[in-house]
Amino acid sequence: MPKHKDNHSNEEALVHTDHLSLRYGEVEVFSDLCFTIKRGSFTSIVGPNGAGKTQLMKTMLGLVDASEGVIIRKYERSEVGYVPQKIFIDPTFPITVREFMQVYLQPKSFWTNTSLPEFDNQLSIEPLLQKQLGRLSGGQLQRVILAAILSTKPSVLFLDEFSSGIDPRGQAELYGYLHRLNERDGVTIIMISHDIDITTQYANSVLCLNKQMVCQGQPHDVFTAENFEKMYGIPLTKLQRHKHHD
Amino acid sequence: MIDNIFTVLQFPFIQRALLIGCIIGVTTAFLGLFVTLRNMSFYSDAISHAALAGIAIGLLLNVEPFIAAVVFCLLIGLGTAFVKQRSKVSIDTLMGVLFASGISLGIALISKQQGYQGDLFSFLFGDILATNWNDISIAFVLGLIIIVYLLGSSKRLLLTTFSPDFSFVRGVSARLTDYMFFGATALTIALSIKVIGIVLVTGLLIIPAAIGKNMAHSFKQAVLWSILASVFTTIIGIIASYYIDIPSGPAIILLGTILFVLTSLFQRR
Repeated sequence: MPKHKDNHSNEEALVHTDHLSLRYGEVEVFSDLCFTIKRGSFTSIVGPNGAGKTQLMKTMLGLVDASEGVIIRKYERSEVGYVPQKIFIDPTFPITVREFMQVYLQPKSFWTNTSLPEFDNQLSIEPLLQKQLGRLSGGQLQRVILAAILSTKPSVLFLDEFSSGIDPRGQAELYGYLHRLNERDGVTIIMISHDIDITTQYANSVLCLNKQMVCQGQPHDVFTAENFEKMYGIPLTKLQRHKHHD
Repeated sequence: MIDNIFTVLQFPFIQRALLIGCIIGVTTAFLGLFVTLRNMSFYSDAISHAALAGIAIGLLLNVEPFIAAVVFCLLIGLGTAFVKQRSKVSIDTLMGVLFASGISLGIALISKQQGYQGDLFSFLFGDILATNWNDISIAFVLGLIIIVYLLGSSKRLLLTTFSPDFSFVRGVSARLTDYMFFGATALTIALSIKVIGIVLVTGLLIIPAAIGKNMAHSFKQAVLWSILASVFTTIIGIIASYYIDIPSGPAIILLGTILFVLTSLFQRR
């Protein structure tokens, strides 16, 4: 298990919200959120389906405008890497990993034979470059997307359910890599996850959301039976039983 | 046989038909790849059928029907992009409405015209052999504009297809990209009606792209194979139609279908 270095406690705020709310007509997505995410932190946003996590991330990114409240973003768009929840990859469409990289890195230019930057060896991208994007496994695809995003040298990474559909070994490799990025390179990581174990293991800051802020703080402090019940609406014992059955 | 083909190629109307067919074939093949990637085949069908209303308006107002179709298709295309972004109506439903209303309006307007509507058949099924140099000039200029647009925007189109949110972070506007693509598709469809007609225009967009996808391993290969398939089926389709004495549009589409079936059977795994 990685040791948490609380390398963000004295750092500046990256995102700060004050009574932030989002509503679509009569439908409340989230409301009254007050929190600060610090630069250099590894923050996990947890909560049940429909809690407003993805919309909150989109609001932080500026993709969605909040209905009420204040949001202060202290980063430039060029600093950001973002892996959305859904990426449409047609498995029959012939595009290679190399071409995908060119599209992501230089989306506004004509096609040229520009060389790609060197990718981190740990992601093992080189052997995949000539493969078709639609024929990669879930884990390979996530590695490719991560490598493309990291090529732009982001200092803030937003990851929306990044590891869904990946086996435990693949997850361990990816989160180990993210942990090193955060610890070694100071990259701020803000992720949405349903996995409490992963969050406890890697994150040093948690926002527990269920339309409103249920709790926030360090994982070991906030993951209490009481908070779980508030967040998921059922007692922790049942949650654990569900997990064992899974 | 070869001598006969050379004789046929010396006819000016065949030369003009081959020239405009190749110009439009290259354009539709390149654009069609994105139409298939974005699952917009039904959109192209809806726009082409809505073009009938544009043609009917042109005939009624005594404006060149082709120009009227171009303007009408562009308006419909951009309007569709606008509604898609502002409304919660699914794109499929929107296209269904557009398809039915476009052709209904076209038929209603044409029924109000007096006398023989000989042009109508050529708009429905194309009349490439009646191409004149004016048609070729318009097709060349518009085709060139669309090809240059696609060369410059293909990465944007791919990125916004993967995820509009993804593209936002890379500074690419999915909304603007959508508008441009809907406009370019509408323009290409209007352009293709001369060759293939309203009824078959979707085939010209989809079939070469589908052949290209079957043959290619990469995006660049897919573009080249699609264009090659389109130009090949257009040339052979026109020449064959002359010999078999059938309309050129169906000949091009049927030949493309045979190639599609063959390449599907032997496509790379």
